[in-house]
Amino acid sequence: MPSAKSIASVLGVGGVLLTTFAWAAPLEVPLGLDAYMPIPADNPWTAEKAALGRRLFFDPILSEDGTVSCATCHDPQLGFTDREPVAVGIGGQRGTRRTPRLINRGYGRLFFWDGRAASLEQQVLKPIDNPIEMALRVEDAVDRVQADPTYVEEFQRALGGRPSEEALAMALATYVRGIVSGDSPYDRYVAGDRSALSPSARNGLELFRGKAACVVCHLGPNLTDEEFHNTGVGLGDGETADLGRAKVTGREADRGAFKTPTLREVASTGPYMHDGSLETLEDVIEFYDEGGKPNANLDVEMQPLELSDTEKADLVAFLKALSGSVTDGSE
Amino acid sequence: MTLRHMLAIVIVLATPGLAGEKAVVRPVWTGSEVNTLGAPSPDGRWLSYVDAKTGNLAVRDLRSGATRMVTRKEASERGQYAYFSVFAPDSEQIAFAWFNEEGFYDLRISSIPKPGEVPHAPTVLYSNPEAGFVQPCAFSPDGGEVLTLFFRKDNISQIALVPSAGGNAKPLRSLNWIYPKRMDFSADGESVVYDNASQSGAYERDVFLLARDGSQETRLVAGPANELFPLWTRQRDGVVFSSDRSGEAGVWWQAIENNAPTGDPRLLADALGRFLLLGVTDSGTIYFGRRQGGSELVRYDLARGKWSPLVADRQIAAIRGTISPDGSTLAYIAPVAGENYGVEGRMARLYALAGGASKDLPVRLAHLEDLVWSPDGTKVLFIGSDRRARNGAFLYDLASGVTRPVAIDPNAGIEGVDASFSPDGKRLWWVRGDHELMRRELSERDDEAVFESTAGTRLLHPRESARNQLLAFGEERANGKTTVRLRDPSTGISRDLFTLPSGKLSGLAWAPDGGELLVETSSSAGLRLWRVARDGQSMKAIARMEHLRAGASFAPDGKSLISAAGVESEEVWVIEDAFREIHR
Repeated sequence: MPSAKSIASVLGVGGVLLTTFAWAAPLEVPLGLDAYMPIPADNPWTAEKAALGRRLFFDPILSEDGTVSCATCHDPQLGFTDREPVAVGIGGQRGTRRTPRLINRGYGRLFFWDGRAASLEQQVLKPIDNPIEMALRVEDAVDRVQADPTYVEEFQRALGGRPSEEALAMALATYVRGIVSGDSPYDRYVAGDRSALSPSARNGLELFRGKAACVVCHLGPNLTDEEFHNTGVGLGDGETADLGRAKVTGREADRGAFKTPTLREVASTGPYMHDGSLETLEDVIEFYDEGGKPNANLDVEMQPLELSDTEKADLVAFLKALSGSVTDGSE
Repeated sequence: MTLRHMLAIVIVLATPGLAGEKAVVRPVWTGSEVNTLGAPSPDGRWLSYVDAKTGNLAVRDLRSGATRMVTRKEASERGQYAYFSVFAPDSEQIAFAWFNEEGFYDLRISSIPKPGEVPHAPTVLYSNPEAGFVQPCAFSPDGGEVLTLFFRKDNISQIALVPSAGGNAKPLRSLNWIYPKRMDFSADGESVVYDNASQSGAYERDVFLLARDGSQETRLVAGPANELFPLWTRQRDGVVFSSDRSGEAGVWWQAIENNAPTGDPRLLADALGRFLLLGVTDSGTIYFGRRQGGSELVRYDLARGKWSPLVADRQIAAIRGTISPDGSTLAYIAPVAGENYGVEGRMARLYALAGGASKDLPVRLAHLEDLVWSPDGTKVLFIGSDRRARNGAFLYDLASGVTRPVAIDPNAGIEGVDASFSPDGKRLWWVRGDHELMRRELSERDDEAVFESTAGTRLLHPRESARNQLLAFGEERANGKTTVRLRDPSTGISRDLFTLPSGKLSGLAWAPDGGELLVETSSSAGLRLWRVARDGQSMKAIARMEHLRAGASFAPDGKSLISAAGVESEEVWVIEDAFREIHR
């Protein structure tokens, strides 16, 4: 299968090829995920919109110098994230937070590590005009898309009108909603296949739900409560520490709290935490085993776990069992 | 049947122009055999239920009162039983939950045997310990699928479709620990109606409509009231549901067109007390179950040998209660509105015994089973489950309002674990997995197993005495007998103290001075309390209290016992002719 970057280059030259993309319709989800995805009524999922959104996702014309697309950081080959501890944008500029995994975000409630976007439609445009990500004003992005007759035709077919800021958001959000991960060994085990998990992974699941108490935040089909917690990650000198959710709410109690990410595909999508400070799953488990890093707003659930080496290994085995199939709805 | 039952309740539909048209509300089944775990058949002939004596699934002929077993347990299936059930559109097949030999609920289907016929062997449709609690709610109109509630080990509830001919289940929607209390298919089978919290963290519920393919969800009935138990009406598309929007719990109906509500909800029957909707027949008769009675807190004066209400001039409706170490405050668990099939809503309250001031405790737990004061009176230990998929015991700090888990067993049910404080408040004793006696020093995080019972036995009610830290606990053995044992902390050795002559051990408590044990036993005759000398040599019965509930404790001064008593009964009622005008 060609890489995302090669697909992006093809799309830039042979736009007519897009019309031959076939999309699974309606949006199908793999084992382990709910059939119901909270899609806004004013932006229902359609195959045409998803195809358009996919084209835009891979198109670097949405960046100021034409070198960065959404897929540059959210690489499909890397679980729709990248390998950098913090996002690297236009001109090699480094951000302050890890590129989130764009997996199963259609089930999300709030978006970005600090939850500042209330919908995918709000979220998808922000990286475009972020000066350290894609650095292009959204209205300029719209102008560029409008200048391409093949885009104009696709927007008309998919959204019934010319390219606009709103239409851009709708198409991109629709594509992102179609990025789903499921059918992991864990999903098969929960569905009733008792042989789907190895004995070590089964022990890890028991720990996940019990002594290690991971399920306190990582619960449900998407293994996230979609809420914000301070685990003590990234404590700086107090002056420069990332405020996290507090930057959005203004509440001191939210200082240093970040959104619980999904654990799907976690084994292949390091480094970890909102600042990419933990390299491996073992590092993550050590961090939690120590009870996180003390600070004034440390979540009350963060307690030392006193895990044995075997228990830690079992947890890693379970986390690896959360890797399944990742698709974006295209065939 | 009492006079009350003989009088039909007549309700006028609250609709202009319908003066003179009346719906009839009346009981159809009362008595000790009633339970409300089943549903009426669409043709209105049968009502499914669980036969209390055998645990079998049964049906009652609503015309004649005759009953027929649908399942037949073998001797090897002792301990297994039927639970929720629902009829297929053909009024013959029934999908039901079954507590199986592995200790979880699976989903089965069978059909009503002909008169004189042996019950048919059921077919298992879904069996998965990961979703170990299932509640079948409705069949699709074509009978091809069973709309089922799954409750998973991670405390996630799921709305799922299970093929009635067997096959893979399809989860439509995952919800948190606030599971839907009732679900139903729309008449065309393209949507599912269910109730759920109106917003995150709220107690009140709204009614939602979910497309069967998961493509869309809308809020059908909303508002500040508590709206739940939705059932679809096929005579004219709409939803009946329970609501307290009038100030009392009643049955309402909302018309639906093109998957959207039309007009305002209409009252069908009001002031029904504690009830839950069971089903709507093809003819439009609405079946509902009512719970009558309840329990209140009572006190037993050990010197006078008499029972009385705990508070002289006030009935405290409660499931469990215990008095603070300083004797000033009662902490108790009370039922709340919003009747449910298996487990009612509960809340925790404090009541000042002098003055009578009370306040609710904002304990953020999903289920409250029991409570224990800490010896210093600054905390309350709640037994149950939290909103984060944990079952066990949780310590609630009265000053800070913070709740933290202190004893968690991933394999326990929502009832939590049996736990108690040491008299000095430094330790917690609890039972893990029925076989391990655990000690937790509250200043540390680790638990230590101090005793492990053998296979086939069960450990119960660990309680540490104020004298010499002797630990009393029950051990239910393979022969069905229960022995109370004592563990000496200095040696770690346990010895038998006495064996119950009969019954099961349902509670154990040391007197505050460690001088005697309060033993609670349960049998078919009900609960009994006994005073047992600390050497186990004498066992003296306490005066009977009718309908005593489990969980008696000593008052802090050791002069009385606190418990809850009361009886609940269930009845099945109907609302008839509610849609006569609506049908036209």
